[in-house]
Amino acid sequence: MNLLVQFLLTIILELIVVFLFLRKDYIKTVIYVFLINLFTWPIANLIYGMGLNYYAVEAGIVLVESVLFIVLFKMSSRKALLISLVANFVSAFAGRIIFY
Amino acid sequence: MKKVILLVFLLTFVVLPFVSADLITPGFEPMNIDNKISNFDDFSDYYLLTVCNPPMPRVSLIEGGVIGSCYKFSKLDVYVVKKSNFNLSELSSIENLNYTEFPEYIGQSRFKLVIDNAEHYKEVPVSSTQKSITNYYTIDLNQVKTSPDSKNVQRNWLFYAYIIIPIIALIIIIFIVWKRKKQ
Repeated sequence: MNLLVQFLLTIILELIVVFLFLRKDYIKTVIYVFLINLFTWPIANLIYGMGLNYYAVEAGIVLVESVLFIVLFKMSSRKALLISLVANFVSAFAGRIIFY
Repeated sequence: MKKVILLVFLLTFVVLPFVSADLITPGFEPMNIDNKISNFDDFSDYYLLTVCNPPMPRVSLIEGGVIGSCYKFSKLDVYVVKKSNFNLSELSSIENLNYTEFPEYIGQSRFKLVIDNAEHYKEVPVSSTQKSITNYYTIDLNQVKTSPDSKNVQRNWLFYAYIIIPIIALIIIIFIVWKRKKQ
């Protein structure tokens, strides 16, 4: 599947999760989620491609995205971690369904 | 509220079949690995042979130091044999050997194993930055090599994209935060 399509659909999934938690400033949310994924998605692929453990990469991305949620959305670290965890779990779960 | 949640879940399941994402194990694609012998010219008295083991046994002559390829599930070995002990016409008859005859044939004392189980096929994620791999072996008649002496990994354009795009994203994020603090 085209990598660009994969990337865009990842953003759609993460947006759905973020919209569930934050129901305000929709345009800002779309921009921020796009930027967050623009930062983490290529890094995740790069590191995973180098042979690092899938779950270790996943955990690292959850933490990095949490920090970015705190910085961009000005939310509590607890909420940021929860949103990041759910968003990445949903995308990872979707991937497992599709490829295994 | 319940309607929104229901709608979101429905939408999620509609897009699920198309998603391969960040930390989602993506699809895989095959990648060939080239194997080369760096000191090929030092063995002018020998024939160097690429030996593909069953399920698709095949023996081919190594020319110019480039080790031949095998069927992906075949184990690839390299043997040397003195030119005086080998008739090149034997090569064509080897393909007709069965599962028991082949190991017996290649197990003859005139053949000497120098590279055991060379990596020649790999599957990588479609998002991988690896384009191809070239392994270099330095043959030593007193040693059986199980790993290459050096390796050259060629990267595709994704490697640069995976570095440049996050940097751009980070710059924009820093700019947003900086601008917000300034206000």
